[in-house]
Order: sequence, then structure tokens, then C-alpha cells
Amino acid sequence: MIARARVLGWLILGGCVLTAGCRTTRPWQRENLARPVMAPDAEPDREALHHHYLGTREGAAGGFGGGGGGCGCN
Amino acid sequence: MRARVVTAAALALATLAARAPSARGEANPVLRFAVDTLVYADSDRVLVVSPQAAVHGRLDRDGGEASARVVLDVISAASVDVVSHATPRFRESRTEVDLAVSKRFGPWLPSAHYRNSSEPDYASSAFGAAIERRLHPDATLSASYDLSLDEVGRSGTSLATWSRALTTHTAEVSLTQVVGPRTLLRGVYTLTAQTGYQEKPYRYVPLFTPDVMASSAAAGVTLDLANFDDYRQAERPPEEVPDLRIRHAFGLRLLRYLGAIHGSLRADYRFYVDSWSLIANSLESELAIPIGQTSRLSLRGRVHQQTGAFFWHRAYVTAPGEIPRWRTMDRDLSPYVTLSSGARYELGLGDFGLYADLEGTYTRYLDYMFLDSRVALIGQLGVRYPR
Repeated sequence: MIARARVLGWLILGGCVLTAGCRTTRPWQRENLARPVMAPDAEPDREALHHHYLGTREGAAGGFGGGGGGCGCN
Repeated sequence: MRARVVTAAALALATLAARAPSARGEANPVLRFAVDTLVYADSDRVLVVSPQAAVHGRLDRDGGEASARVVLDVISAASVDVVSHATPRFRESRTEVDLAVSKRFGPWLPSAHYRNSSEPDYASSAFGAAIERRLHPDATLSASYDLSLDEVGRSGTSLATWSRALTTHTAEVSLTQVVGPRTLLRGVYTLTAQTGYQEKPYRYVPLFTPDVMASSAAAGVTLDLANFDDYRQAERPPEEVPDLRIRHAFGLRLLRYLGAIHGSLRADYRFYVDSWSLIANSLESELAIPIGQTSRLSLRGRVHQQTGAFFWHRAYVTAPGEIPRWRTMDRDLSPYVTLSSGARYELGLGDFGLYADLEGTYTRYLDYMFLDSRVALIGQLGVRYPR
């Protein structure tokens, strides 16, 4: 399973590298992307508290961005 | 130690407040304050109240800032973890302080942070650094590393008398890519390596002999919280899990603008696997609907499913005197499914921003002796100034 996870990781990394070169929009097409509802990261303080609760109640962790390290609690 | 850290955080907050001009009336305010409170209550008799205060001081106009955040957890619990050891309800509090700074240098946004957390039987310090690079207007790449140094103790015993160390390394890389005039895509990979003491010092594992299991099954008895003490062996060894855990998480986020409602749809998927053979899938979706110019309603749903760790057993069956090498009663290492649904309402009132969030979750434990299911309610309130 770990080996399959590594393969999946390389596929995602490869996909990221390939798509990172893609420029898909022009400045006049970015109006909708600039709206508050399209912010890729939610409000950080609110999310920090929410993920703190999630991190102590699930066996999985990480994968949603914003760093890691857990809550430092038991 | 806790008092020193809280004092340092308070000084940082005060320094930010004293050095920066007032936020009121500025188009791009220098300071932003946030106060939040989370309340968690579940059917397993756990209640957690977590108030949090934060201040952000802007260092530039493109993502650079210094921030300080303090959160307090007040916990009251009489869960099956506690009751199964014939110990009474406990109450304790935990304090966490986070300090962070970031500064824009052209396309680069480096940042660093420090976190300290302490409670009567646990102390944790974490340091981290991250770098974000804008590749071009449509793509942002970021990478981060965190080191957490934890000291696990026992309540009522000083850390000098008994403590164990846990070290956590976390590395993460993510790419956010615009894939069209209405669509964003983000990929995240997180690698976590934990070494050291990962048990809970209060958790002891009941053992059962094959004969007792056979006779109880023949009598139609299902072992549970009410009767397991009548069937277990006299010896109940402490929990023991491997000292090394390597964890991989792969996340994808899709964010799509919905022109018909001027809102957005977010979909997150995470695949998780670790060296303890725990595999998890998490799917979350949120629909954001603006209401007028100053308010927004968000509706979301979440499904989390996981398998158990390779050493997980509902009941550990051994010959008398034999103790399995690995053993745990940590339900977070057992197979289960959680369904969550919630809504958040955000409102702007002058310079203030307010929100209220309510979420309900249902967890079905598929192979856990002490509990079949759990229902939880999580409420969260917050105020922002300026919004």
C-alpha cells in the first residue's frame, strides 16, 4: 500500500509540474476568480480552530494545505 | 513555562497593537483582530469549549503579516475511554500560542511560525517555515516544513518524574492552479513522520482467553462496555503501539464559480495511508451563496471513512500470560465512518464581520467494543474587526 501511495504521490507531483506551466486566463477573465467566494484558502483563524477539532478526532491528518504539525495535545 | 509563553504572546499582541496605526477608517487596515469560540459536545459525554483570540499586523500589501493567536481548550469528559478504566469524569484545560510572520519579496512569500501548547500532562513546542512562490498569475507553488517536539506525561506526576518524547516532522508541498476563468484546482501532498511515544499513558488493554471468547459467543453474549470486565483476563497491560509512524496524505481541492448564484462550489478529496496500514478517504463539499452585499450562507457536507491499523482488534484474544506485541484501544485506529453536515452564516455590520457556524456529525464505529456510534454537535462563533 505504501508503494502504491508513492506511485500516486509521483503521479500527483508530475501532474502538478506539468500543469504549473499552464497559463489559462487573461487579466480581463479574472473578475470571477477575484471574488471573495473564490478565495482558495478559507479564513485562517476560523479554519485553524476547525482543523484543531478535526485533528483530534480522526485517524488521518494532512492533505488540505496550510501546514501541519498537529495540535500538540492528547 | 505556560505562563511565560502566554505572557510572550500577550506582549506580542500588545506590541502589534501599539506599533500599528488604528485600523478604523483605512482602506487597507494595518491591524485585524479576530475572536472565535468553538463548542464541541457529543453523546460520549465530552464537552470542549475553545475560545481563541488573534491579531494580524500587515507588513506589506501582498500577503506579508505578523500574527499572534492564543487558544484555550477547556475539556470535561466522561467518555468510554474514561469510564472503561473505572475513573471519574475529568476536567482540564490546555493553552496554545501561535506566533507567525511572513513577508513578500517579489514572487516569493517566505514565512515562519512557532507554536507552544501545554496542558497538565502534555507539553508541545513546534517550529515551522514555509515558502510560497507565485509562478505566474495562474499558479502558486508552496512548500513547508514543521518540527514538533512533544513531551507526554501523566496527570498528577511531574514531567521530571515520568515523561516520554514524541517528535513529529511534517513536510508539505502544494500547487494552486487556475484552470479556467471560473475554476481553481489545488493539489497537496503531506508527509508526516512521527517517532517516539504515541500511546496514551492512561489506556490499558483488556485481554481475553480463547475459551472465554468461545463460551461467551456460544451463550450469545457480545462483549461491550457493560460486560467486558466480567470476561477479561485479570492482567490488563498498557497500550503499546509502534514507535514509528509514517503518514501520507494526498489532497485535491476544486473550486468553481457559480455564475447563476454568484457563489461557489468547493470540493475536497483526501486519500490517506500510513505505515500502520490505516487507510482513509475524506470527501468534503461546500456551497457558498452570497446574500445581498454583506452576508453569505455556506452549506457543507463531509464523509470520512477509514480502515483500522494493522494491529487493531476489537478484542485481543491470547492464552493466559501472553501479551500481544502491539495493542491499543484507541478508537481513532479502528475502522469507522463519519458523516457531517453544517451551515455557516457570515454577516458584515459596519466595520465588523460576524459568523455563526453549526455542524452535526454522526460516527459509526464498525469494530469497537466500547461504543457503536457517536453523535456530536459543534458550534463556532466569531467576530472580525475590521472585516
